[in-house]
Amino acid sequence: MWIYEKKLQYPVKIKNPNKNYANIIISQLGGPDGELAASMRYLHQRYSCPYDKVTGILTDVGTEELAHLEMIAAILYQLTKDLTPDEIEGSPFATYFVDHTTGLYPVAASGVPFDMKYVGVKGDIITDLNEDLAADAAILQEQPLSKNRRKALKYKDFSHFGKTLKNCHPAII
Amino acid sequence: MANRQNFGMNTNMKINRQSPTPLYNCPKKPVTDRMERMNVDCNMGDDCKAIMRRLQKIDFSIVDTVLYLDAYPECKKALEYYHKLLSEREALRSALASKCKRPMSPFENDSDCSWDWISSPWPWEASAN
Repeated sequence: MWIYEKKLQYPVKIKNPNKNYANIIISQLGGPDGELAASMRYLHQRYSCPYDKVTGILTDVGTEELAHLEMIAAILYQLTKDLTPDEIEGSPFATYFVDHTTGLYPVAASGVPFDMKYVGVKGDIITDLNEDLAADAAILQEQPLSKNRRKALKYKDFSHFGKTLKNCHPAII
Repeated sequence: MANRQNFGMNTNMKINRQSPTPLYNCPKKPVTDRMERMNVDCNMGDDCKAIMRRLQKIDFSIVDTVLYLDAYPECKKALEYYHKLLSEREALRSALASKCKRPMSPFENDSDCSWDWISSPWPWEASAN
């Protein structure tokens, strides 16, 4: 079961909101390589996993991805909460705003709502770990934003990639 | 007395409702309302901010150590480090709950009088960071 901790894993305090980031960062929330996809992936793969170590990693990493999801939501919340109608109109954020105002709805930057089709769960641990490698490697391709919190997330996802690689060994024995 | 019913119990229990005896020495009006809470300067004094930062750092390390132990559960050094971090984490969490009125889980509400779990700042708000 899950217990919620009332703090962010890494603090988020946006001092100068830039509305143009909101439309891009929303993909980290509900896009194919976002944190919601990552958490659903790991948390669902663990049920059919026959190895304790791997199940442990899938559980703990999956839970951590939920924490990342919350950080992204915090970034988006602070970025958008004080926007004026003038600022929204004409910006790429306007099409999101018309359906959700400043609420947080997991979509990709393209406007496609979150879809479980982004996640593969095949019941075979080697297959599932390969899915995880592909997913975390995708993160490494992303453009680094020059913000510390983005760096912290990137470090975390990179280390998940490394751990998934290492975990292929006990799974293959 | 004639109009007092006895339900077979050997007590002097009165049927009429009295005002409930206050169990705790609570102040008259706990600050639970969100708008009011913003005016009450108790949650993010400098001390509390430092405690929070320290807890975030410790938890960041603990998460990494947990993931390491998941893959290498026999590593005694890692387990030792884990316990060392855990004891500091406990101290920080109880300080946050009691001194700063910011419980980290609903099982840690320190006050007998106020439900700080909902009145402390939410993590996505700027004032919580």
